[in-house]
Amino acid sequence: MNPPDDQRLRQRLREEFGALEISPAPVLRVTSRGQGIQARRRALTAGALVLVVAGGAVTAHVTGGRTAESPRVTVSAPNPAAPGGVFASGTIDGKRWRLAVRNVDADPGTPWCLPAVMLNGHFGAIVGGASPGAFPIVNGGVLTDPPGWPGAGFGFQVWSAGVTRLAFRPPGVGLLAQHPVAVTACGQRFLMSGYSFARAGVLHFTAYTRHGHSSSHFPLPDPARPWPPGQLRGLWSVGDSVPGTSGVIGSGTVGGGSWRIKQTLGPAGQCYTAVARARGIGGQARECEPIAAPPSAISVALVPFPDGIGGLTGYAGLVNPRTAYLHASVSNGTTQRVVPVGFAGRAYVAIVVPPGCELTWVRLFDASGHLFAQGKP
Amino acid sequence: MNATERQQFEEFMTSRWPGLVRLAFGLTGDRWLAEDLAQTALASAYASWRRVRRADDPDAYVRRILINASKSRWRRHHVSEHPAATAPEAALPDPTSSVDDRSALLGALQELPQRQRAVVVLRYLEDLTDAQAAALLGCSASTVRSQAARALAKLRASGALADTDPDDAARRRQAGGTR
Repeated sequence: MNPPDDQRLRQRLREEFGALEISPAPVLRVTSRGQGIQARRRALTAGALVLVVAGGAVTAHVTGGRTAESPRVTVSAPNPAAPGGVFASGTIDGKRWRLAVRNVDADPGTPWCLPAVMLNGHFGAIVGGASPGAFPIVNGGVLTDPPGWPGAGFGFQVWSAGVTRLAFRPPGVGLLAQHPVAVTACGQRFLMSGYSFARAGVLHFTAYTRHGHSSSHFPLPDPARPWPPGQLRGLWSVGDSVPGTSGVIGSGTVGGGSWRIKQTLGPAGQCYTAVARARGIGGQARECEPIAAPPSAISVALVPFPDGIGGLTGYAGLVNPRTAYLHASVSNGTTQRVVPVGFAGRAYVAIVVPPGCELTWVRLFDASGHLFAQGKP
Repeated sequence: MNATERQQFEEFMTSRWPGLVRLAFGLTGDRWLAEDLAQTALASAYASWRRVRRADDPDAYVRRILINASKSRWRRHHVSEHPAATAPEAALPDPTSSVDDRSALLGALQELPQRQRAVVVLRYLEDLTDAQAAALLGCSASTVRSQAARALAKLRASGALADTDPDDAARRRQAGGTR
């Protein structure tokens, strides 16, 4: 061993790696992946038990279910005008898919704006929040096996300013040579590209600028399974630096206990955390959904409260940003008046009903007191 | 996992994250993959946190997960490790691009066989002893030493260890240095 080379290598490595910019620890993402691993282990354990009990009958069923073929994917040449924010489109088994950037904060014309990539108007992935100095890809995401698209994967990239041409090769699709599509949303200009894919593999890409080009590649997961494992279906796998919001959207007391529901919008999707305390016992539970644009009326999810704390049932979600207040009818004959709580233009509501009850009807009123929508949530 | 264990994990993760990303970057040469591998290792650690925190050396435990994940990824994708064929366009090399224009040392590091690369990173970046590196890689300490010697010889031959500071080089020559 040559000591000077030994020392020089050590010093050089420290210089090189010390200069590496490292993003903050993505605690939420890692813990949710960890929870996914735990859930998968539990499922495997349960599955193994079933196999032991059911024997050959179960084996035959699993084998029979593995005959599905990969969907047939096409990716169209993008329209540089990006009508409606659409920057990529194509077909999967003849069904049209479109990736577009749109505002998921509020209706156009309001001061609030949060740009997100959406697949046919669903499954939002917030764009923005680039890592400083990221080049040539500023941001990106992968979506696998979303509801309604079995076995299909989708991806998008936001490119650095200055990238003029792209060549990329999604697995099973072939070489795509195109210009990135400039989409203006929320006062920002995004250089976008997108694709679909039908099998796992490696995405190779080359980005060209006026000064040269840069090539790299990254693995694409199996599009027939949630990625990362345990991921909520319809949620993009994106970087952890994306912007978001969080805050309490409702609180109150029911049956001698207190409750609170908090919303978090970010890389984990649109999440609602219910916290309850009764008779000195407290706990919390969380429900997440894919990110959606504000509804024309109301869209709520059932939010579970921890078992054994009052048996409460929670509802949390979004309402049309026009909503000044709503009347929520409960199956026990009572009506609750609920005022939405706004976070960056998204109007949230949280409704909690007593044990054994459910929400039966809601009526939405605007600031003038006019009823503008009603129905069963 | 209860709230205390979760807090312990979050503190562990926050303090180890930069080191794990650097280690993974050394193994892969790709920052995205590095962060993904670090996330994979920490997510596995989270899923087995009770066992990890009871381990004699939780850091070694997580490093081992990361190295194994890196090996698995390499096995899956080693055929595709080479950069993509570029599109048929003429272009000048871009000195500012982040991927292809990595430093000579990082480039040479990526040319090393996977095990030699791991030995270099563990020995010279992580400052592990031969025995510690051997335990992580599942080989003997003598194998670590021989792999390190081969790696160093290749790095030397590639010119990646050459002096970049002319004054420094001159000082070494005056002092009877080896270069």
